[in-house]
Amino acid sequence: MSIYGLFDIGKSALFASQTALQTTSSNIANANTPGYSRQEVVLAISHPAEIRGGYLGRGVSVAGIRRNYDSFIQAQLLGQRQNYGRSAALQQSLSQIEQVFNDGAGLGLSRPLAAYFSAWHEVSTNPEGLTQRQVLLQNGSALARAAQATERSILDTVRAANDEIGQIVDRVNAMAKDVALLNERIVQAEAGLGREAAHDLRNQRDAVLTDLSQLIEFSSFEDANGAVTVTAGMRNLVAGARTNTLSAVTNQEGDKDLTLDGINITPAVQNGRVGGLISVREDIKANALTSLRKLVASITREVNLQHNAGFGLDGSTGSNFFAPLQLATRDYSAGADITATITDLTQVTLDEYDVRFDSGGNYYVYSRPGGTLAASGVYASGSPITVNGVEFTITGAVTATDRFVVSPLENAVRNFGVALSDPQQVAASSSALELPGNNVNALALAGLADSGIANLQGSTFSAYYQSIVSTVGTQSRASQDTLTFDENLMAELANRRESLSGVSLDEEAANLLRYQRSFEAGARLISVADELLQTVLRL
Amino acid sequence: MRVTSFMIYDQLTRSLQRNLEDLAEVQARLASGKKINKPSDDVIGLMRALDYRVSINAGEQYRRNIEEAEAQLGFADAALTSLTDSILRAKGLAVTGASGTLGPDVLATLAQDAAQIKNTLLNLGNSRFRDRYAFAGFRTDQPAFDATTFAYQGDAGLIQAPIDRTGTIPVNIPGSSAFAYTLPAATSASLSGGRFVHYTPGAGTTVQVEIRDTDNVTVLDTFSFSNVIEAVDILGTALAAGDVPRSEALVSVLDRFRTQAINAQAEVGVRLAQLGNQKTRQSATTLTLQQALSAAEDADIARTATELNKVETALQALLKSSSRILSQSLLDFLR
Repeated sequence: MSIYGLFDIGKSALFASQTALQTTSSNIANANTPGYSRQEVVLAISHPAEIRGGYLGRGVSVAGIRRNYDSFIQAQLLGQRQNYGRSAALQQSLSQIEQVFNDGAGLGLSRPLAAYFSAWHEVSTNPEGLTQRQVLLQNGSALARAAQATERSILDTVRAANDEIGQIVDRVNAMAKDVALLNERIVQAEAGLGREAAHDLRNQRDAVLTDLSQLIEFSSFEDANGAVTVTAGMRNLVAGARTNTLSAVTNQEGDKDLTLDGINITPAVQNGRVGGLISVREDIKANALTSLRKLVASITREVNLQHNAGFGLDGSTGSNFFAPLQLATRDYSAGADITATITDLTQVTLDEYDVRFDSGGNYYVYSRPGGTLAASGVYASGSPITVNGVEFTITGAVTATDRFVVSPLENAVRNFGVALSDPQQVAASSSALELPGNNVNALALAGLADSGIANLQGSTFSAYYQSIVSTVGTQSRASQDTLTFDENLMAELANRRESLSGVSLDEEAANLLRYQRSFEAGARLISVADELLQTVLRL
Repeated sequence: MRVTSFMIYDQLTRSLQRNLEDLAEVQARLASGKKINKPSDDVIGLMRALDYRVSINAGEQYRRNIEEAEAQLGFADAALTSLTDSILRAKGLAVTGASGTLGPDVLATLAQDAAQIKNTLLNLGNSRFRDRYAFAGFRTDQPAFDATTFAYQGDAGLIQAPIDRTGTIPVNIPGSSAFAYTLPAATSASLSGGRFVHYTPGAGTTVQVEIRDTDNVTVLDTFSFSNVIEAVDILGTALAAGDVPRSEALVSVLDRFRTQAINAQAEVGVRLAQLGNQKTRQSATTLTLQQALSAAEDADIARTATELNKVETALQALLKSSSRILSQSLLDFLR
């Protein structure tokens, strides 16, 4: 063992301290970088030299740089962020819908609804008064406008959700490309070095995946080369260095569907912001929107039926107060067409009808909601099918995959408006001979406000409206609670990740001091070795 | 557990956020004075509040209906008072005319009086309440009685006003029941000088009168009327002509008209009393409902203010403690 050995030991100490200082500085520099995992230098004893009588230490070597990282926590965090993304989207949209029905703030329908039927009371106590009739027409228009504004706000929320889905898809595609690129570089960097070597690239990829998890539901796994495969809706979004394009395609109902590699994956995407947007969109359409339309359709139907029976001051009868209900049809068929009309308003149940066919040439009409079979028979082109006062005529050749939807609700709010222009025609009287003082029909119309409506499960208009508000409120409440829960859970997981992988500045400051001292000591060692050598040379 | 600076900052920001959210909510409650500011604040409470509000609105409408009915019936009541007075005066004329010992001057004056009363009655019958002929039944757009024939042109329609969820009350008295009566069966009476008078019911409210001689067979005179205006008109002609038997025959007729008018007025009185009761009940109910509504949706200001204090204190404590924790760093001690 020569004096030169001391130089070597000193050099190894200097080198190790320098590496440790570098790692520490990198940690300090990245203290606030999202996705960064703290790194640590792993030191090892250098292979000792054998001398007579034992072994002699030959200094220190850097065995590696370790990343403090727990893939289990990371996986949990990704999953939880997907839940959080969904909850946040739900909460945001539902609280918007809730504001639409916020009667406390003067929005919603309960006031205009009450004012409309109050106006009928006023007409009934002054059946010959034109002023009261004019007020009634105005209150009817105000009700229609309020209903339309409400529907518009709901549709705006749905449209905003669809727009955002489109934007998210672009961001997801960009992130998928980032992941693929990082995959490629990680595989290159780690080739021959073993797993977990390319710390900074991995940190970057984790950060991208963490961001991605808030947007879309996916699952990911890492292959033996270090590349991550990301699948959404059972299809590959990223596989190694390749990506498939996610796109938002507008479907027949005007909503955005997600397709990955050309396959519709919409039903499989439940979580992440985009999953939340899809499910809240469906939920709003199925509940708030349909109920509002049903309420309006029901008001139109009941008021018109009663109004038809009465007589106006000018003796007119059979007139509609509100613009009559119109059916909307949706055609999912290439070869056939449908027309539908209301033939008997008294029988209309305000159900939607789903017309389907089998390969044996039979048709089936199912009513929605409920899904009961309302009519069926052998299909003949052009021959009318009548169900509950609604007549469908389908012409052309049908196949077993063809489908038609007939809805009295879809246009109910859009067409909602006062049809009468002349206040004389307000049918307050029940008889053409007892004009103008007869108010029996006006009384019957005023009484509609308090009567249970069969099409609304026997509740009154205002009670049905309240049930809409209550559903919307309950959903919004539940989504807030879920969001709080998901937020807390995510914070808890983030804390656990931080606890393991986060940078503590105090700790790094201590390390800084420690490695500085050991660097100084190493340098001192070299100077001692130098002095020893000088001594020898001076002999 | 290893604690890093990020955890402390994160914890701090989240706690601050939560505190500020609480603060904003309490402030919203204070600003609006309501504890329910959106449906999700309290769904059940909101449903209750909406329910109360529907009932209060309906109650308000019923109150307006009641006031309208009161105005119309009050108008009818005043008209019916004049009607009874006028009939009484006409009866006085008939009684005087029946005494049969009057000179032509007196008779002329009496006839003039009768014509005056007839005009008063016609005006009463055709009186209008806000452009509406009050005694014409449903035919409120035309005079109830023809100005020349005095025939009733209205119908028996009763205009009903809703005064609560289930009940309605008629707000008018048709002329056919205030100014006319229906004779249930033929009656007869004896007149002075041994003559007889027979009253037989005709179509609707028409009454046929026959004055017969002492043998109760020979018909001396016949006439008919279907309402009090026609009867007073006949009385006027009879007085002018000094027709004693007609005047005499009309005395009991005018009594019947008067009873009919008094009955009609009594009917109006009953309805007005019913409206008064209903109004009292309605306002009591509305008051109760308003209290319930206030309890359901109004914020308790004292409690909310206390809550605001609580939230503020928590926020201050958080700010103070965090400023102390955040200033702790090893770097400060190294040099």
